[in-house]
Amino acid sequence: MAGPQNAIGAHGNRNMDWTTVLQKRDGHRWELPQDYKSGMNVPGVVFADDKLLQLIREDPCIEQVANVAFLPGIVGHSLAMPDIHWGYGFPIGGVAATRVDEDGVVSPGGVGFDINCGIRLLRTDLTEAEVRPHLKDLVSTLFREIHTGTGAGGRIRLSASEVDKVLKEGGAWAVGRGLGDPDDLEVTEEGGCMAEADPSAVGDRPKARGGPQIGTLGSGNHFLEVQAVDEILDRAAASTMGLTEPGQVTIMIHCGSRGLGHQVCTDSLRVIEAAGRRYGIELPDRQLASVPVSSPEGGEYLRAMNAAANFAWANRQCIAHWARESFEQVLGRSWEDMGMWQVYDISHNMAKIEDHTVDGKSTRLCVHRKGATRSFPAGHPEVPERYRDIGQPVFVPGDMGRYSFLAVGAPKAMEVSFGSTCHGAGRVESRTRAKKLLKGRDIRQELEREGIIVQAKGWASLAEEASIAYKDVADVVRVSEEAGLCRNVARLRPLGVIKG
Amino acid sequence: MGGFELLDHTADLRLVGHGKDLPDALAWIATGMFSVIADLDAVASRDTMRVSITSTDREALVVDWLNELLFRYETEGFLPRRFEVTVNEAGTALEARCVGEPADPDRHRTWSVVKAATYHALEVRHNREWRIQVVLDV
Repeated sequence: MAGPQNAIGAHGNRNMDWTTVLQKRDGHRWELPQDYKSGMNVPGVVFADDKLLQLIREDPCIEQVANVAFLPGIVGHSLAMPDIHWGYGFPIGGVAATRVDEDGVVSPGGVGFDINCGIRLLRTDLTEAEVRPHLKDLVSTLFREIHTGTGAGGRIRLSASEVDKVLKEGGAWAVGRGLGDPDDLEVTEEGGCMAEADPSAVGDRPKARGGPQIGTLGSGNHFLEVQAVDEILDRAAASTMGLTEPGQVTIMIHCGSRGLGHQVCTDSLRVIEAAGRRYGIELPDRQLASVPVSSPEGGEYLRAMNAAANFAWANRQCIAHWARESFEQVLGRSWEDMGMWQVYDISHNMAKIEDHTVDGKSTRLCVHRKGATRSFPAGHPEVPERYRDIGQPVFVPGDMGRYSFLAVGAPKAMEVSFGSTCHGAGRVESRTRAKKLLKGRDIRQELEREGIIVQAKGWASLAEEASIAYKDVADVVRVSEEAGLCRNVARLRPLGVIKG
Repeated sequence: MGGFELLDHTADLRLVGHGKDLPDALAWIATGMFSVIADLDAVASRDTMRVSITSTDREALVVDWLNELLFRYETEGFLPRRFEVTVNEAGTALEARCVGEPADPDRHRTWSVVKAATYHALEVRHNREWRIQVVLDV
């Protein structure tokens, strides 16, 4: 087999200047012409203003936008959200939709190893003034109750049959065990359960690796953050989500399907790589390996991916429950009394079968969102009833030293991005460079001086996640709003963080 | 001289292993990956674990090798620090003896979860020495 043409150094794109290739369409949209590379089936579109584009002008992520455009059956554009950065296979912040009923493919690389990585937000009736005196205690209690880091086993031991129940039922499995409230499911994307999930499509290896990790956070950029509302930008929408005042405390949880999802992706890639070759699908990066959505291997992958997605929702459900318990322990009140209700839970690594309008016709598409959030507008039938008038909530975490944003889906997203928007700040500095730049500095102390209490298992990883490693998420959400991908509702700032 | 180095990658980690031959480079890239996961200085060489892999080609062998080690680490809790690797002539199968000890959270500081080794920007090259580059999802 010929070596894949995916070596960054080898084809000289590492230091190429993309501003010489991309064509500016308007203030926040750049087109990557279809003739940039022979084999692209559609042009690319990067949502960025001049400032954000400068940050990625030499980044290999634009080459990845071109590579994704090779996917058979891709429609519209190979899309990059404003937080795009260099990933593996797909760029992070990449969106690609393929025709399900024709020649469209599904690519596990368009979902990634952390299947259904996502964000859950809880609101409270507590104020920063009430929480501040207990903050250190709260952070260390959260850190004790919620396991983080590598090799971390969870608090729950699952039998093999119980793992299958998790994979079938998702968030409802946890709620059924008393780990949460039925209302949590009402405000979770897909109700916390992909009905197409099939536990038998998940092999023994993912179950063995991930089963013991249920209810754990992981490491890297995953976190649980205690926050305060910093500014409300849309009073009506914020109030619908239970946020009314600056200073009001929220809790944000970012994690995914842990080793179970990682192993589903690893094992699926082996199968799909071989099968893709049989189907004659040739792509410029082996990590993009794909098979037709309608093929047996495509169906098997989607059933396994959906099962892993359910595991992720159960995982975040357990963590949210223990976060409530931690607050109960420290503040001595019930979670209901503190108003710790879930606002919403979104996924930002998924492939979903959705209906979208293509060339004026409603078409069934497989929408890959790799580091991108679904952003359905007001009135969309898949938006829970209580948010039907404002649009689906969207959470865009920034780095732990600055702020995060709360947004809602916007109508234009359905026209230009298959109902998708950004998912975070987007890295600008590599982990290795961030550590070098911050050598000798105590990030924990620096954050503490700003009133942010951090507890992490791998202190070395703290530097990797420091503010200088990230774009300013305020720029990302501003461009997302200007491009019509979502509408900003509130800004949240961190008070306390636990990390892996 | 064998060894490993970490190179820049915006979101993930680009790891390079060098060795006098392919088995040596495969051994070093594995040491490199576990040095991302844990403080290997604290890991004693007192137990061994055997791994055998068969893959479709040489590039796949690299990815399958590292992913098998991740699977074994997360399911068996074995933390290896040194690897003795033999590879078949075609470069499509390997046998390895992995030396280390069971992971112990009280003694072994851990850094980062590695989710998987990817095919993106994967390179296996040789002239005077062998060089393997792989991007890890962290």
